[in-house]
Amino acid sequence: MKKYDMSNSASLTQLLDGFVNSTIGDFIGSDFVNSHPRANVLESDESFTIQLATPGMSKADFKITLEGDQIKVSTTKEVETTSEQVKFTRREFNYNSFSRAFNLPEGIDRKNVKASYKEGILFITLPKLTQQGSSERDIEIK
Amino acid sequence: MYNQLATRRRANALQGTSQNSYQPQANIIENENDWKLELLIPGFTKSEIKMAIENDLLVITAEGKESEIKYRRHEFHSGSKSVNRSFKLNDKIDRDKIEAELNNGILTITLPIAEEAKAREISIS
Repeated sequence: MKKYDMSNSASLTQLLDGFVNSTIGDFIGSDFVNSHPRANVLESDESFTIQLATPGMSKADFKITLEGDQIKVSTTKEVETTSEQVKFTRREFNYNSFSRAFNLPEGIDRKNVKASYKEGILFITLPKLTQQGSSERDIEIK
Repeated sequence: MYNQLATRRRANALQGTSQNSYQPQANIIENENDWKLELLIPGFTKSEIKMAIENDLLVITAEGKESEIKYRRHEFHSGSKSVNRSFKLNDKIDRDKIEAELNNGILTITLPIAEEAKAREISIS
């Protein structure tokens, strides 16, 4: 009987695709790769949003840290030890843990960084500091 | 024998979904009484996902709304946010009892093996 493992060619191709598609030198992110969830970064007037495609997790599995000018996302989820009885006819993805870091741009309001997890996507919102900066807010004269 | 649920890669969707749709990654797990098909489709709600059986094909499609905010980096759902993948069903699968569940971006489809198709031992009398 033929056994399929994670090194099958389909998953490798998918992985390579992921690297090729990621834009090199893009302004917000240099990556330190373990295993590599795909990311989108969006910019609006008020904030940057990082979206990480990380299906199959739960909220408690994530660890997000701000360190210097980097934000780092990792999972602490234990890799499921698949028992002998599970027979994969096809295996193109797994639930391995990962770690990915992004360089933060200037002018992020670090105290108000927020994260949420919805439909398998981790959203991290990085609000921009207003022009004056939160510490230099104009005080209204009454 | 185990390749009966082989993936059918169709060049373009037969049913008019957008051309930029991508094929999500899939795991297929074979159990004694059913087969589980796990599809990686983060970012979709239940109502955006459609499953249909067309002849011998199980067709899974999903269309989502694109963000209108500017992307600085676009590694997934680039092109368009739509998904399309089909699997060929073999004769053993009980089509009336196929069930699906969406959980944190993973669509798990249970394909039960029909009673009459299950392996059984025949005793010699």
